[in-house]
Amino acid sequence: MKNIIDRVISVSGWVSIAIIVAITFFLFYNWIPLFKTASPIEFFFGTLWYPTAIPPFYGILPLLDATIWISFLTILITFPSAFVLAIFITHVAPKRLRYFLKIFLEIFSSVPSVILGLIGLSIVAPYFQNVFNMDTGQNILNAAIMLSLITIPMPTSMMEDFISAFSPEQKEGAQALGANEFETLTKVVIPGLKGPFASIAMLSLGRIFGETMIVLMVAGNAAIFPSSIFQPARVLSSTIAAEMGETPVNTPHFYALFGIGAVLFAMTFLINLVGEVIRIRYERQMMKG
Amino acid sequence: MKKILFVLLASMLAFSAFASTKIVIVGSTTVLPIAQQWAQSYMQLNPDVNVSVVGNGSGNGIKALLDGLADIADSSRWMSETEIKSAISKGFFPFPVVVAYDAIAPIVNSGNPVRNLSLDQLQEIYEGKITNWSQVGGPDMSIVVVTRDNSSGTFEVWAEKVMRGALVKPGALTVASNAEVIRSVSGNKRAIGYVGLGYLESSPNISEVAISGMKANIEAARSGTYPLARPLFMITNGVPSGTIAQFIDFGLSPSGQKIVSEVGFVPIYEVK
Repeated sequence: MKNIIDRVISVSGWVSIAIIVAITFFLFYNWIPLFKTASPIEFFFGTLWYPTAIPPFYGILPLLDATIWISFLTILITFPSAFVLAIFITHVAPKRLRYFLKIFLEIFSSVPSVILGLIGLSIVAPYFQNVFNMDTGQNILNAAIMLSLITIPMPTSMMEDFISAFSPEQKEGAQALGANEFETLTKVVIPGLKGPFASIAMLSLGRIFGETMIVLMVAGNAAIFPSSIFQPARVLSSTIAAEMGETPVNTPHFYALFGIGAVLFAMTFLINLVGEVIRIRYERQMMKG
Repeated sequence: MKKILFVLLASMLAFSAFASTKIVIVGSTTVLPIAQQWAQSYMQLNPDVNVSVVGNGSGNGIKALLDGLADIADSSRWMSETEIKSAISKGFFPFPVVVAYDAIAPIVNSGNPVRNLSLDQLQEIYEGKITNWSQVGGPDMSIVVVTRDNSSGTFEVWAEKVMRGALVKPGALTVASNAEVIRSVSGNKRAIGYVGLGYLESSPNISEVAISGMKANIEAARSGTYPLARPLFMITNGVPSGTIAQFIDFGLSPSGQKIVSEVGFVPIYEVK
């Protein structure tokens, strides 16, 4: 029996590796023919994305730029909020509220992103326009706020796990030296979390990069180099979502969209890799210490 | 397991024997919703005919027709010179039928008093040369340009008839459907957008903009006097006959044309 289970697990492991390899191959295979029409330099450093104009332009630099902007801003909002929330849940909230919050976060993380997109579009965007007199509420800030809402639960529960798993001996040691609850938290617990925090940040970033629906609906999708967070911007993932459906198969435009997919895949892969490496290193350190 | 396979195989055989004739339709994604709905209704009436519809662009449709891979090419434009030459050299006689009209209308938020613009003004607004509503007789506020994703058929018309070779400014808000254009424009006083004629009615808080005094309407789209309209074609090799002729006849019949208006296009004649 155990033998069979072992085999099933190892087979599914290999299958999933094979699928990842196949996806990678598929993306690159459909990207390469683009270079007959546009050079890699044009693709990566071109500043115009007009794939159906005559002549066409296949530059993804503005899309890449916007992806980084939006992701960075989202992390900037997500991370401190998640941290505060995690501390609140582990140290401040009364037991019953803690329980309720944890359930709420879990439910919230499974809200379909299209709903948050709709809220961003029909509530936040008009609010921005009317109250702050912006030209359009479909902009980077709106997208980042909506993205943060859907991202926050993940880092929060990861941080919360790390904080509550923090070695009680160290905590007690600190308290024995006369530190109060707050001092223990700031001087002992938080400094000890540097390693896991970096990896949590990386993993959240991976999630943000791939999120499509919210950005497509809320960010305004203008393929420009935004100069402020109140301007619209277009990211890599939503470009694929908006255009793939109606793009004729086996045309340069089609190949270019696959190219965007390959770039996105490579970025997410790298970020997750870095996140994992940091996590493993940290765990080794902990073992030694 | 074998039994299931056998049943599956047998039913497939039976099905293919049943659906004896096959019509292959390839081409424009703009015409796709029409062709799909026609195919569905036609197959309900004629279960022995199997109609397959693929939407991969007008050019690919015409190419498939000339390669003998399709019976009908859907096209949102007239054939190009090279396509006609290639057809003649292959001994083909391309036969186009107008199956519907595609008309689009510029829209603004109802809070914006501008109701009339010329084609040139529209082009300059979308190019980014005109950036304030006061430049076209409106209030002093900046213009927020809303456009469609560049592979949509609606964008194609806009690019062809309004932009005429110029590029839509990169800073334009880009959305992926007619409904989203309406949502963006109805929520923003400074916005301008464009939608298919079928989406114009029943949309609150938006107002149509006339083009040099002419409002989009079905008659003007049909007669060709409305500047933002174009005919949609189905092209066959030679005068259609047999099942293909029956299929196109069905499309041109009142029930087929009713489908045309249901999917948001202008039927070629008045249907009730």
